[in-house]
Amino acid sequence: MAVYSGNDDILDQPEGIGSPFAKSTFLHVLIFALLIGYGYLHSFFRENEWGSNNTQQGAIQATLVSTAALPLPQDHPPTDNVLATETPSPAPALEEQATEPLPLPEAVPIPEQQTPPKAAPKPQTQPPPPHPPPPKPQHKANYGEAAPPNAPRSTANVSNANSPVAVTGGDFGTRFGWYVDVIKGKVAQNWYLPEVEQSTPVGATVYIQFTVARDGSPSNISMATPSGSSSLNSSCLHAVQRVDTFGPLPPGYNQSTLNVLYHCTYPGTR
Amino acid sequence: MRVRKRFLSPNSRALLLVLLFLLLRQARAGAQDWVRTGTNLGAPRIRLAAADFNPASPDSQTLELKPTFDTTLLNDLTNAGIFDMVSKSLAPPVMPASPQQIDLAQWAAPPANAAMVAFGSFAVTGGRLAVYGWLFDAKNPESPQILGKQYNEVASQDNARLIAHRFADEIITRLGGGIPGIAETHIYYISSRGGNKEVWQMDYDGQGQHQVTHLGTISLSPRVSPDNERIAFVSLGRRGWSIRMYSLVLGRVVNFPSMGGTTLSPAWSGDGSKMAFSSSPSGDPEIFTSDASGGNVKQITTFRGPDVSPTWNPRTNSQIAWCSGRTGLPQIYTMEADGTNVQRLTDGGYATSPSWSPNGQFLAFAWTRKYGPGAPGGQDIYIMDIASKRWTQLTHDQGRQDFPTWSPDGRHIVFQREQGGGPEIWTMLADGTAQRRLTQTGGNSMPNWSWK
Repeated sequence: MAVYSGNDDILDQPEGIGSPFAKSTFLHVLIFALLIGYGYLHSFFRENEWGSNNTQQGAIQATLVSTAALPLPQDHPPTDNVLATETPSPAPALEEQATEPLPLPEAVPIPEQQTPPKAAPKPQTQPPPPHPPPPKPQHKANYGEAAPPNAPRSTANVSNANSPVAVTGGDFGTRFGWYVDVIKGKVAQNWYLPEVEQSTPVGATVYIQFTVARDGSPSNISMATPSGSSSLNSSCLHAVQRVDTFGPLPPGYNQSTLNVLYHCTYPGTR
Repeated sequence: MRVRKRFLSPNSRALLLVLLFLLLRQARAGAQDWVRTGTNLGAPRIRLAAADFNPASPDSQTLELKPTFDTTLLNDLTNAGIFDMVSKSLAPPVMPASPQQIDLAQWAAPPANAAMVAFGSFAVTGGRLAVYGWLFDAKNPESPQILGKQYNEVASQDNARLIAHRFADEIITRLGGGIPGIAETHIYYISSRGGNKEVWQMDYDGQGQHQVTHLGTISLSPRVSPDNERIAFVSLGRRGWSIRMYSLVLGRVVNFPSMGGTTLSPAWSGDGSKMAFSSSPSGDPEIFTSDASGGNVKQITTFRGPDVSPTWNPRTNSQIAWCSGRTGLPQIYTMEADGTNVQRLTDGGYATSPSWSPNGQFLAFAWTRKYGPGAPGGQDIYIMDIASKRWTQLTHDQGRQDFPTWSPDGRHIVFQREQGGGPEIWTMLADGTAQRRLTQTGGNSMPNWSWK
């Protein structure tokens, strides 16, 4: 029977504990460091957390002015500027005063006729009082629009600009101005300004015509005069289409329908 | 000899005559009136003056009932949200009884500056109340009359209020563009004043609060039907939570086949033909639809996670918005009435109790945008435009708000607010202004506005 000597068996050899311990410690520390480092770095790339408030789904906060209309009155103040530009061109330049040509050096002045002395000088009269300064030019075109609400409510009735046939306006506006106000208010309330491109010039106007039936529902909605902006045109058409009814036509009006020519004027962004 | 050819053949001439005739007919057919108006002319609120009505009879009941009538009329017109009311201190101290007695120039002048005047006469004779009311346009002296109405009822405080509500509704409908006024609508809610949570009813302005059900157990979420004849609500019975039906016509609870399991939150479709509710036969609450009589039950959601609080689109009657916890915290979703086309509307937080507006455009709901311990803000009422998903916050930092519901004109929202103490019912305009408290005592919750 062979007997192994103690020095040959690896199990009998004394082990040094320092080196393996150091390696083991090092590897343990490395693993922990990797775990912590991974967790730390991963926190920078956070995905959809449970119940978090990130806005990836797209619910957008809005102020009430820009949401589509609640059936409450919204105050659109009247626009003053009806021109198609905010910076109207200045008045044409004044003509230059015609300057007298300089007399030639050798010219001799022509002696003037001796006029007989005047009679006693005329009595001094008071200078006329100075005229009041002329009013500043307004950018408001006065062509018979319905006046702001404080004035008597008599809307001017004008025939359709495009129709070759002359149609008498009728007196609906004078008798039932309140109904015209209802029409004005309801379409204005359903007019969704953010639909119009912001590059549209302030004061651009589109004219829409439609017919109001006896029960107050609009029909035959069409564009009478387009503006230069197609987004303004379609936004005004949509505003009228959104209205279900203006309320029944007043009983005192005995026609079956009412024709309306409605204009939408872009007031610019606020 | 050259034969001169006729310019037009007989057929062409006939055609030309027909065309000419049609053209002339078109010209003469323009007998309709034209009006012209536009957006840049300003659309401010109508300045309306409600005059005190003239007491037209010496009966003692006239003076007893008239203040109720005057106050109710003024409150109804103020609450409508579309008028700029002339305050009584600025109005001329006159009580015109008829169109012959009114001086419109006096009302149109400062300080009243009224654009419209409502006036009339109020008389009690022989136990009957007769009211004549007019609405005149103060800026149009040539033809000022817009409305002329007369009412005749048995004399009592309730009828004085009722006539005031009716007249105010007429004015609001005429001047508000065809949307009917809400002065005669009611709010159904849960109150625990009597000990148990029962269904109560009150007028839209908080008057006339009275108890409807007397079941002696807990009842929740009353929903009145579109024809105002029945109230669907849930009640805790022997077999758990089930949908019960109360008939306002008969004045008692009527039979309704409710599903087994915990069945909650009934919702009527806008035409009254269908109902939606949430039930959990399998333990997981899902949305079901059925007929108004409870038959033909169909399950329309199948996802894991609670699906509760359905509400129908009252315009199309084919879409449902509801609250689902399928992603964790409850969020608001919409879908078609058969369960297809599920869309998520809220993007986080804790959103519950959706209510669809009568014009189909908006959802009102209660939302805690930042949910969690120590998170800022609380549960507030929000409205969201469904097409564009733009939302607006209506209440801010005033306690916990919940259970919003729209009025039938789409201009008002009634909701429940808890501000220390028990929950109470508040009302406001749909833009968050004019918040008023309707109930004072007891715990009042879960309001539901009637459809008409």
